[in-house]
Amino acid sequence: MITIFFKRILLAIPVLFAVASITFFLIKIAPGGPFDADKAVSPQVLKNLNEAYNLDASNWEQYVDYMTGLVQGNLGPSFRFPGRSVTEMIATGLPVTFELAFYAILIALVMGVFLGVLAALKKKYIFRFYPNGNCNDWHMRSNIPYGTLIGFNFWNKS
Amino acid sequence: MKIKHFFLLLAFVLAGCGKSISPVDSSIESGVFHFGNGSEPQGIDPHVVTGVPEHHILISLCEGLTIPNLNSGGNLPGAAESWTVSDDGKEYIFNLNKNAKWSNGDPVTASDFVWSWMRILTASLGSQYPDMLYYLEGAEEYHTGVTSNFDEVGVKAVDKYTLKVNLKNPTPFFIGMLSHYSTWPVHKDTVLKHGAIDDRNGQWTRPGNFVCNGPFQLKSWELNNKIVVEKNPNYWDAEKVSLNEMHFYPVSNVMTEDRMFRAGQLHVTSTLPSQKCPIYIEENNPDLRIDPYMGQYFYRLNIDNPSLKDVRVRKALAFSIDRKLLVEKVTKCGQIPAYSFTPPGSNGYQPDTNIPFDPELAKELLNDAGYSESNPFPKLEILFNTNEDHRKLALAIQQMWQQNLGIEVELVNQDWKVYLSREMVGDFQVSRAGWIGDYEDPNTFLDLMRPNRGNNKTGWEDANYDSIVERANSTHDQAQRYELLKEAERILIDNMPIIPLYTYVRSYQLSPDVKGYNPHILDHHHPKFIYLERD
Repeated sequence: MITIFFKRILLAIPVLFAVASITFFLIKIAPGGPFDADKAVSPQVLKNLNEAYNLDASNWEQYVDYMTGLVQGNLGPSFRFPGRSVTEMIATGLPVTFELAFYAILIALVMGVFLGVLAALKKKYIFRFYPNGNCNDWHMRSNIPYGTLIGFNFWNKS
Repeated sequence: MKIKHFFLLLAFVLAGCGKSISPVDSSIESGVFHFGNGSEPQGIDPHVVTGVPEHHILISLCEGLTIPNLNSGGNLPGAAESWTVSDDGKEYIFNLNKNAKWSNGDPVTASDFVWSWMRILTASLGSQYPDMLYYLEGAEEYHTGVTSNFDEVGVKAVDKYTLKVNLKNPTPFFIGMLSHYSTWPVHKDTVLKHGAIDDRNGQWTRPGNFVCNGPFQLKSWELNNKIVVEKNPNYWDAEKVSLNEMHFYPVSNVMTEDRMFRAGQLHVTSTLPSQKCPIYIEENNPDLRIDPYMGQYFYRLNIDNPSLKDVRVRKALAFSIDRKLLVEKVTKCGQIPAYSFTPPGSNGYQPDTNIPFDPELAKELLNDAGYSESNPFPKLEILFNTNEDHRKLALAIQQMWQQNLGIEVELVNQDWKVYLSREMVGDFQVSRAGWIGDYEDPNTFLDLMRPNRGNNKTGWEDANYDSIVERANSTHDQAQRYELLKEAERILIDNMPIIPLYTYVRSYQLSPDVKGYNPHILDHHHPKFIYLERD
């Protein structure tokens, strides 16, 4: 069990590395730059801006910079919000994301286990309930498939 | 018994629905102004940021030499209590207000302005608005690195409270430009305490660090939630400031903003959902405000495109558009049909150009250009950034061109960045565009179409037009100058590299409690004049 756990973690490293690299170059290929606007800035200003953010360096150099920063947890300054670092902006939003995710998983687990057990006992009931359900609450709609998913898992194992 | 319980419960629930006190209601007492500010501001460093939400916050925090008038028109004294202009219109002497203080109590001095203007002209800061000061002697040279000696730039502190500015040309709109935040001062010691002069990411703009000289000071800033500014007791005109606090909410969803306004959570909205505007007009909604605005919606024509090279074709396209119909049936929010590039009435300027709606004449022009039924005009593309309102307008124009000229038109919508880059490299035929004035003068429009201007984008160059605009801006006499600009405008419309469609309006909702928020052609509202009062 522990070996599987560590294997998974180790496997995630090359995956994250590949994802980060592909994203970096995808953004580079995409048209436009971070300072495009309705009112185009003069070439001189654009040059200054690119220098300020080291965007005048070669792609390779920028890539190495980006990856080094990433490993150190430094994602550099925000282009959109001068004066803020990307790491800081993520850090501001993360607690809220965690809180939302926590409640979502909590609800999904409780409802899921309950509905899953129900599904195991009365197979027909759950399949009838879902498509006919009049409930517009998104929790219900999104969690019932969850519930069946988790529930069926439990049921299969036991 | 059970039924009794039910009614009891119902009573409790209904009681909860009763009239509660909304933030707008309680503001009459507390003096808090709730401001729907569109999007999260990039920041509050006046030399680094660009954009409108940033302006709304900055105008409460910092003050330039002059401030915008309550109504449109000439600027009022700000950090400068008076100024004189030399006879040749090139030298300005500003007498600073000796009571003007920074929010930390330091006096605002002439050398603060010199240092601030040096900062925005420092190339490595990467400011996007240094050209606002290019009118100063030597400023462009300093910014582009021709000289590294700031003494050569035309701004000097004569003494502690006297600022001397030397311009390259008499620039009659110079005072007007001073209401743009790029010309506002920053507190030298504070900036340098948190970074170098050219540090874009200095932490001096954080609550607790921030020091500036406006009527309000920064109290708190919760990212993507709320910015709070409170009255600055050190402001020279503090007794005139009636509001105690201003709360800026970055609500980017216009429907959410509309709901917040109706729930009494906002005094003013940043805009209106476009589909609601005609409904509010019909309902005579007392909170609806439609103010004149110095902005123009137009189509750019790519002169370098083979089908659009001929001016007769461009005129045919322009003359076959029924602008009245566009504003009455498509935009439907009080917009004004446009027959010139500069919005009429910009600081007293009235362009005299006319673009007729004349399908017969248009057809004739197209025939003259060599197109007929046997040799039909090639398919034309209208490029616009993905947006429902742009699409609706393009659809109407597509139909007009098809009906009146028999031209097949295709609509091409692109993602914002793709649209911008296609416009930039000239990969378009007809492209949707908008322009909002930076200052109250026709030059903010006419300058755009001069050769080598990055925002011209049409490929149109006219030496005569260029020299007339140049001459106009060296003319000190305003009436004479406007005559020259009108002449330039006629040349522009006669060549039709752009097709003006309509003049924007500022449409938004404003609580009847808000006073002193008068229509302003640049949408500048100085918070010093705003107060809350219930009739």
